[in-house]
Amino acid sequence: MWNNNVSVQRVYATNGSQAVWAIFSGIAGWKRVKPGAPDAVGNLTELLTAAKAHGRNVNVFLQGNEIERALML
Amino acid sequence: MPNDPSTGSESQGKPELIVVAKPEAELQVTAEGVASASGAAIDDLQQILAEEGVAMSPLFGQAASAPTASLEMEAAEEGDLSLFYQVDAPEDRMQAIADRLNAAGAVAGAYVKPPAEPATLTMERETFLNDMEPDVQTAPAVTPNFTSRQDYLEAPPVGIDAPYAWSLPGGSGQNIKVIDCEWGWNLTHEDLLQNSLGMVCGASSSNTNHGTAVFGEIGGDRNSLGVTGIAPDARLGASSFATQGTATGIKCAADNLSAGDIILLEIHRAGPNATGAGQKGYIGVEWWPDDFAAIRYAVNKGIIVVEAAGNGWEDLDAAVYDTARPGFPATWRNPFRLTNPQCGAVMVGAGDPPSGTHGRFTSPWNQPYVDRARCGFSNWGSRVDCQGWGWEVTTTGYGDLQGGSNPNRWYTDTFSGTSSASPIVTGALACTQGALKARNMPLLTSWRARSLLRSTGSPQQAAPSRPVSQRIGNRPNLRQLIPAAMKTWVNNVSIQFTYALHTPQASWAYIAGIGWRRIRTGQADGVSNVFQLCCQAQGSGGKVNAYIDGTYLYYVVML
Repeated sequence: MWNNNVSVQRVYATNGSQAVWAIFSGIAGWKRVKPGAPDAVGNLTELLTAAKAHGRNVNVFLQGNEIERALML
Repeated sequence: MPNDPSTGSESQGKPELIVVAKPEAELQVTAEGVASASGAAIDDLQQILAEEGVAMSPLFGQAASAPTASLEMEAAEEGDLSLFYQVDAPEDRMQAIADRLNAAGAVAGAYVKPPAEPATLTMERETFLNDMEPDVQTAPAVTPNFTSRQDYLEAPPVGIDAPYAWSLPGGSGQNIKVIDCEWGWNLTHEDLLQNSLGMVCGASSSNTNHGTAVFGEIGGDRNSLGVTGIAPDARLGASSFATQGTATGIKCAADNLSAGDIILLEIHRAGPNATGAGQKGYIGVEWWPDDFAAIRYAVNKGIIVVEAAGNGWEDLDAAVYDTARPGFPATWRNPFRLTNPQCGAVMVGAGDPPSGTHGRFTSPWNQPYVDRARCGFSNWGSRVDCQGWGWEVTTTGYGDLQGGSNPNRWYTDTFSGTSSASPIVTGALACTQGALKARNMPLLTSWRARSLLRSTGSPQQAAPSRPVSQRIGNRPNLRQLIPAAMKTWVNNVSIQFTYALHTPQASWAYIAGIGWRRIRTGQADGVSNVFQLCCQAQGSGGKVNAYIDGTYLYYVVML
């Protein structure tokens, strides 16, 4: 489901493959960028880190505890 | 009031009468005597003191303010040191006075601590640990190099791999202070002249062999003669129990050190199972409330405290240690139980050296040496964190390896006990702290040191009648310990620079106050993700938490 106009509170990455998590305002717990395609995880990571770094809100589509889509506002 | 060194043995302490006040009484000691700031009724207390002709004085001084316990989540709740008092009373009246004081309304507890001793003697047999006599033969003009006899320095599992630590910047203990708390030291020994802090608290007793041997293990000078300490560049100081009580001596040491430095407690005393036969039943001093409070004070300052487990042949998990001695405050809990409040000290047991060390295959009591098996005399239990050599330690002092008329040139081949084991762990930790400091890495707390010493090292071995279930833990292995200590989170830091090459997975971040770390290679996309976070954090000026070691950056959280 879409969660609109939320801020990115934390972004966490390890040096492992496709291992990136984020926390959003008003949404409990860490959400993992859905693994599957390394370049896609990289793209979402770029979006989330830019949003976090520059204080931009996002709309984020979550499926369970995984981030499937994101839109920087 | 400090103990009078003119009475009692110079190589052991005196009994101490300790009083713990109730917090609500808000006791104050003035020139006129004891008063209560809260207006509590203390007539009974004043009457006892007057009738006995004794005075109470604050054990830790009037302004015993607690440091801020903010080091990390394991930091223990700080005890209020201002509640502890000592009563200077004749030894033969101490217990009777303690019994009377326990009935006073403002007193939470009053107890007599048995004399403390260095972990030196043993029992049951007419053989003693560390009663070596100096060789009467004249020493050669120049002391030979004895380092080949210091097998405890060598590669694991025999030794702790000190040369590995020495190969690292700071890894020989640079910029780390160590204070040994016991009775006497020969500070003019020819192999202890570099990096000495001298007497930091109190005055040395004239019986100096034990402390001299401890110093040699940790910090014997790096030169061509004698021994070389595990951490020869660490700065060694002394806090003497010959002229002050034990808890007072521990606190004084803590007040002269900074976070990351080390206190070594070369002491044990008679516990509830003591029989009076030698040191059977002797245990680590944290079991007594005032010593526990002093250790916790040091630990909460960020100082690592290393504590000898004691040579009492005791199972520290035994139920007897759950029972408080008469006069202990009602809040006291057995600190040997890991589920109870802990003081945070690293507790060290004694393990056998390899069979054949110095050409010997058994202990002086004919127990066969089994490398890393518990020495028969060593206390054991779940509280014991790790082990060091308990026999055959070559170091300064005593004179059985090189004697003669000049004690400044005495060396021993047979230093032993939890006394010889604890300096090995202390030296290993000094190397580790020095290596961390050289890289601007967070220094180990006592809590983390305990954890790492349990999770690394050469494992305890079994011997006949000495199973591994009698836990003394692992022997340190610096090749494991230092890298493990280097892996840590550094929190709320800035990324100052980022740097990348055109080759795969070649990217670095400069963490403010720490330095360059390469993004750990392995998975190309993972390296890119971490690097991206670092770039964004740098660009926005945001802070991060980073998981690093001395070389690499592994994980990062944008805050």
